[in-house]
Amino acid sequence: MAAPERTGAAETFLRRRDDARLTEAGFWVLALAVPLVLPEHAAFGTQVLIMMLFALSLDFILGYAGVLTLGHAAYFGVGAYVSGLLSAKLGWHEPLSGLAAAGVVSAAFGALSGWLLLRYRDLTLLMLTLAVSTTLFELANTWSSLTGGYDGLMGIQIAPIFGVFEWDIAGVTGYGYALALLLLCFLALRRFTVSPFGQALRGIRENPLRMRAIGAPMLGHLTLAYTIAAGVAGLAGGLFAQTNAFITMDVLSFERSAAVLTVLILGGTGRLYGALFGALVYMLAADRLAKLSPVYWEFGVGLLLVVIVLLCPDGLLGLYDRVRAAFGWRSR
Amino acid sequence: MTAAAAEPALLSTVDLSKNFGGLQVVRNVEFSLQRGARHALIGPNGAGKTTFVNLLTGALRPSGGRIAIAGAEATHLSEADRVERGLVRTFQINQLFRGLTVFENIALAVAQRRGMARTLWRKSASCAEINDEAMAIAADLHLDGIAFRRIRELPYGSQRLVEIAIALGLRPRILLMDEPAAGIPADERDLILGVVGRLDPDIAILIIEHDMDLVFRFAREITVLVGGAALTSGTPEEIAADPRVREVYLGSGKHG
Repeated sequence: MAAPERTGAAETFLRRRDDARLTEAGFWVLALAVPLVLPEHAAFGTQVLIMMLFALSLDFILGYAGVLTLGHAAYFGVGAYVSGLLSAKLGWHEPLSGLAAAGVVSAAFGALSGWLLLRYRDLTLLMLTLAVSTTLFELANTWSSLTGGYDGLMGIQIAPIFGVFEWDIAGVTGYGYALALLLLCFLALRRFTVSPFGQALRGIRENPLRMRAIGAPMLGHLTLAYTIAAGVAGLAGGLFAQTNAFITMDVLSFERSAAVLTVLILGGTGRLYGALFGALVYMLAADRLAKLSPVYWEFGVGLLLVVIVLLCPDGLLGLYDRVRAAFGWRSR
Repeated sequence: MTAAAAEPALLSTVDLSKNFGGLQVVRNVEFSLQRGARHALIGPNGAGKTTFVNLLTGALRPSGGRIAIAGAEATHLSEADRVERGLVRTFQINQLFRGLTVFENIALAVAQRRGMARTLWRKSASCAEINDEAMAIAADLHLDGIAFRRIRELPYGSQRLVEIAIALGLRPRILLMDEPAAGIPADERDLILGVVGRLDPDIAILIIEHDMDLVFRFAREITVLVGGAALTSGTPEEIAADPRVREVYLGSGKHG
């Protein structure tokens, strides 16, 4: 009974909303070019890629489902400690399985904590997420015989990737490893966001009351999204431990949760590329500012955040969209 | 007994009550909706109409009494379980997905009803079964021209129609409409009433409304709620003629 032109219109609308754009290729080509053109910056680039991956995971629950969290570092930290401890304490040095373990354990922890926490909303939820990450932080501190506590976890050794690609001093191998993982996770998350489930998450963000009234299983939806986000954050943490071959408790710190939130606000939420772009801007700014003033660099980051929030509340990519719209170009 | 009366009511309440602390907002209400009912619930402000609807949908837990859907016990079912059994509501104050388009608003309900809301690995663009149905509903309500506009850009009257369109995406057997024409200018009310009038005659509809003109044009049966209790039920003619109703409700505006 639906006229074909109407169905066609819906599909056209959705394709226009969801399909990859040519400009996106530019980002990935540039990312690939970094170690070739600037091999001396590969190690720093790897840290940027890890932050991008971490921010992507937050965007999935914050940007799409509207879940605000101050404790996302908990999942990053769990991933980091899983892959770090596997190598340092159990002598398991194979990188891909170590990374997979980080993702799986972190996702499982996300499923459990999400199922408990996501019954609550707003400020209560915000405080509970903070409580979970603070508890883990203190646990790592108390259990310093295992984690190394403030001194850090020593003795992480990672075997060559696929037994072939040796880890080099400049960090080019690590960069390629991180970029490959980032691309895979990006493609998976993008697929999730353009699916009916992704649409349901947007519905929860826009109006939880109505979602409940149409019979949506809110806790189930949110727990699934949270599990996915925790798994990706765990992968980012695992990657962090493997590429640095050293971690301290700061992988679980509140500062890390705050930093990833800052990244997302800078770049813009609910668009995936906001996480990528925000991470780049944040890491570059933090790096430059720390060189300028090792003590007060966070003041500079804070100032940047204030300016961005005042001038473009939907982040740098939101600004980009509005500029395009002002020139009459096709917008998202 | 006619055959229709032998069929269990699609929705019924027995002795339904709700207290907020010492305040009894709904008192021992006995109520039922048959298949195809066109029932209006009226009453002065603060009569407990919206609380009654919230009890029916499961948004609030009753303090006492029972609710049944199609003859089956439903008092303790969750909101989601009641929606699955065909009990759907619309809101007095729009509860829409304001940042999404009209089409997306409807598609959310359709995907939920079809059990596809957990589909992770298919693109929405290729889910023709959802998209077709959502667009058909939009067309039925004359929303197809604005299907890809965001809710927050739309005039209020169109938003009220989307409120109904989302409910239709769930294929209700029982539809509870809380003041569907609230806030709409008089000349646009016919649009809403027209839409309601064209709904599947098998759906049992309960409309909560202040506008007497709309109530008397729509309803075949009216229940008057006063102080949380059902004062009386009857045909529009009976209600209009009932002196108690005149006193507590219809007359209140004319005297004064």
